[in-house]
Amino acid sequence: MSTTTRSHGEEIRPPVTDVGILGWLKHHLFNGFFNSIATILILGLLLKFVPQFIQWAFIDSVWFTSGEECHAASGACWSVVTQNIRFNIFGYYPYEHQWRPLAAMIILVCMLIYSRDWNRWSKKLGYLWLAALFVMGLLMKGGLFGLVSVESTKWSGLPLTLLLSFFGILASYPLGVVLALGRQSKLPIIKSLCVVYIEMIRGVPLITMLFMSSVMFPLFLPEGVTVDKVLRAQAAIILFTAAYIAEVVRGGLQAMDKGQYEAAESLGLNYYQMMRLIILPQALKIVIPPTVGILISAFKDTSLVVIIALYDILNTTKSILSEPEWTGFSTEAYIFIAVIYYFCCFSMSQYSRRIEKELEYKQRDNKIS
Amino acid sequence: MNSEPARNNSATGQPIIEIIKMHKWFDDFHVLKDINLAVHPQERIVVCGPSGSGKSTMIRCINRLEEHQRGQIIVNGIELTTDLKNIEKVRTEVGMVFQHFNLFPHLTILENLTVGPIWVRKTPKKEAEELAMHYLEIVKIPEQALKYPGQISGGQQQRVAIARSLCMKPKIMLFDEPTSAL
Repeated sequence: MSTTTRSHGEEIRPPVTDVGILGWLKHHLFNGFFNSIATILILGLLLKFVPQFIQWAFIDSVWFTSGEECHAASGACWSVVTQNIRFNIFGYYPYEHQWRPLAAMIILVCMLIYSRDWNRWSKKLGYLWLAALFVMGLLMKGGLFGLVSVESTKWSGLPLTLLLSFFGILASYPLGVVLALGRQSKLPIIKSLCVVYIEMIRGVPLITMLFMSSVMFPLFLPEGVTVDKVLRAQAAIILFTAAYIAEVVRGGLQAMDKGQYEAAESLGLNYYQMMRLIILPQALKIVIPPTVGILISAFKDTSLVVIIALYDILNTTKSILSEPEWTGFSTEAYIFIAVIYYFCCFSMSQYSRRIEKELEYKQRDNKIS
Repeated sequence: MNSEPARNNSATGQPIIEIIKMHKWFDDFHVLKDINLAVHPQERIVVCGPSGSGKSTMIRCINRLEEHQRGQIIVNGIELTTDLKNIEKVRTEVGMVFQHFNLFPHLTILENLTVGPIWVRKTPKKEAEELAMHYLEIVKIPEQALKYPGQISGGQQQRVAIARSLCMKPKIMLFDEPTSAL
């Protein structure tokens, strides 16, 4: 008879190589031959470039100097950003009134942050948004309550970028949904109209649309009638983005089980009720990830308004760089713009992930009323 | 599917479903041939036959999930034609339980039951919820009311599907093999 002895009360610790820093290293960086090689290679590259970058961007850099001193410095010249920040952000908006677009942007960001919680979506929030939009428009345009009127041709920089993309996204999404539903319609005229629209827009680059809206469209207008240039660019962006949204939403509609339509119909729901209550809530949820992809690229595409001489944030940067004092510092200036763009796009994808999570079919805590 | 002449055993009053010389084709395939059927209120009818013989198609014609091409279908005194308003009226009075239940996965069980009464019958929300709880108690799963369809078992889903149809207080119930998926 064999006996096994066991020391009671004394815990056996796992091997040293499995816990703590060593364990983490082993599991995450050196778990296998090829992963070890990759780790060493990447570490080597980082060691080669990161110190160099830090030296350039932080240690040798100058922050608040004139252009001449910048040319003398060996590191990065962040002065190109700091000395021109107001022109870079607000462009040709009258200098003494630049607090107005700033206030409008802050209101917009606050409203977006406040609305990210699904539970706050109610009629009251809708009215709040209407009020906020009115205040923002008033701040930008002026002309009332003693605010000096500012022509929309002077709107530029970051406010213009945000304006074009916010309204572009806001208007193109419902338009895209309507187009997707139209493409599925049983009525041949509506269906073919939607198909022609979607395919035509998708067959044309955004630049062409912007050119058409700014050069060709005014030719068709009767003499004396003009449509605001920003508005025309805005319309082109909306029409363009809507076609892409429509195709994504169509994908969502086609992914729906036919039984859902039948169950809704058999309850006696009419078409609009069926779409609004049963089909769209499910279909739109399926396509949140690709939709956000389109919206993010729409945001970045607003920089194309450069070609119709609107000064969005990319174009104001370009005009700073064309001044003799600041030529040659494009790297620094564009890094700054890249950070702004990255911040906006990353926020958008986080925003959508949050909405997606909140829409998961989980048990509700609210009691039956 | 060929049918025998309509039975008329409870010949009291008007039939609630009347199918007269109805034909249906799927493209070239003549699936329903000269169907005649009369169903009276309170009658329960079982349609049997091999798979692919058109049983489902026939009952789906009764609430016009499928269109028939020839003949007449009169449900609750309304003939089914292309008139959308009439079709919706008929569907309001005809409940249907599907083979795969087809519950709405994005709505809670309670919302699944109240969506019809609230939007079609225009019942106030509170009343609709009371009605829904009443039927959930009849099918013995009132405690699942706030769950989503994905969180309950197949058998429970089936009961919800039946309760959802009953909440509309239909005059006619159609069951399309509701037990085959269990």
